[in-house]
Amino acid sequence: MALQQQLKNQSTTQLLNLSILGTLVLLYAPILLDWTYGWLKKNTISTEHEYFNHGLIGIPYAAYLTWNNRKQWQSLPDTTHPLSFLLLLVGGIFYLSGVTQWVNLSLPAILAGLCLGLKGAPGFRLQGFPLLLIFFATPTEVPYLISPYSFPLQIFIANMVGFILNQFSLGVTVYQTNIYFNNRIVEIAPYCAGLKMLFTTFYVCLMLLNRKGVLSSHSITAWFLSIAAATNICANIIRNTLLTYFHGTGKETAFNSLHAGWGGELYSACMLVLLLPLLNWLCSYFSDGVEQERKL
Amino acid sequence: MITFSKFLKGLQLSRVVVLMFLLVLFVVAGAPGYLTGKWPWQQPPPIINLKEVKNIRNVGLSLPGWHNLKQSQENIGEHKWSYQAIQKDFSSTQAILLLCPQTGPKDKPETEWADVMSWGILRWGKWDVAQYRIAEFSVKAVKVNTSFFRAFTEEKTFAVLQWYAVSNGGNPSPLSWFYADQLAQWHKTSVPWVAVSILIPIEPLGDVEKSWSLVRSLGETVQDSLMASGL
Repeated sequence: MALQQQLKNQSTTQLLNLSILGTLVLLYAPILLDWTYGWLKKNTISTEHEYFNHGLIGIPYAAYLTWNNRKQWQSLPDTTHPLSFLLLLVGGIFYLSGVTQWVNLSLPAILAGLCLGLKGAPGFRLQGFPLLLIFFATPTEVPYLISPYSFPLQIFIANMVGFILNQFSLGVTVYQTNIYFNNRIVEIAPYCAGLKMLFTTFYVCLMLLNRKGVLSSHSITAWFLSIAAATNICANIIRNTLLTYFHGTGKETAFNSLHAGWGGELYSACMLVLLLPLLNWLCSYFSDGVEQERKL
Repeated sequence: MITFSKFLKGLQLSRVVVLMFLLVLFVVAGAPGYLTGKWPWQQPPPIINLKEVKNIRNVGLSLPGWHNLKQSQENIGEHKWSYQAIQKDFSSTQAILLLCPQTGPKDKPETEWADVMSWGILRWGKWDVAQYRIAEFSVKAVKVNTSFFRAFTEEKTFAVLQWYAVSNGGNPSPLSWFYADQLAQWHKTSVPWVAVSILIPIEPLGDVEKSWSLVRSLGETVQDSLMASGL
């Protein structure tokens, strides 16, 4: 009789779990499809939306990690953390608001609320990294909000480009964010400051650190992120130098392909591929250090 | 009763509550979307006076106390602006009024001031900003914050006044518009904007504050006309 009852409970639990998952899918499938569509087809939603196109790899990876965690998740005891009510309530209000960025933000809020509500703090910790990946891939207006503050970076890039081109005696003048070259102007606009590439780089770095299982090592993480950021800014200066040179010398096809076409994509892809050997080298460097310390 | 409480415990209340919560969300906001195929998050709320606001680019503004010498469209940055050369009635005072109205619900103010600077450099060879301050004035109990500064070019020196005008005020920072618009979107409305730049020639490398009362009165007239023309 007791066994029968237990079996019955288990099947009800499973039915409930499936219903929760199903309702979640119904609630968010149109939104996730819209995000994906916006990322695959440029300029359909907004420039800000494109800043989060790393979600194309990040969200499936988060789903994969959650799927791998399923045994651990099931073995956790059912508890409810009080914060879950707040997160679910906030997420629900965001969802009902109908305002794009807040509806988007309701996804990480509700998912975090679910983890805390069903398995308490241990459940939240278990799913912490996938939740972080989803949160950083959620399209918001943050790029718009920070763009006025990228002005110093734009001026720095413009001056570096001018400096490099003048090493080849090309007679370039720089005025604030404008570069004058052969009677043509190239403006380093806020969206040229390379913040998008920086976001993507950090995101991919996080995924690589997690994949290698070294996210908890502060020295590797700090070094990896700093080197990646520095490389990124240098790469962006080189890219803008080439763009200015192409524009100033009238090589329009080269300019267009590097500016918005396949050349730009290839350039970014090369940058990202370079991250992997960098991380491997850092890992071996730091593990050697640890071994030497042990020997001493 | 005992069996019922046992039943509840077996069900695990947290799961039931979560499911009920998600179902409520689905019934209120999800199902209507599926039924109509329209989702409120796909598009920002429409701008009620978009036609009137956009038309400013074609016709400019008629300002009481001032008359037009010339009105045309000018490419400044990636936008088309209304360019108006105006002259004060019964006076030799002239000014340039640049207006960039919002073109659609997704059009956000952003780099307008940098665009005006680049345009100024192309036109007059230089655009050196000095004596910058935030200046304030009021029109019909509506407070307007503006950037007020001197722009020195190779040909002329200007007193410049710049702000994003909205129906209940103005601010040189696009973020001020952004917060107002986000708040409006929660009430299913939006805040249309017009970028305003006023350029009044002053003596070469002169003190910009000497022109403040003239600049201020023109600023007030522009804000007032914008509010009257459906902003």
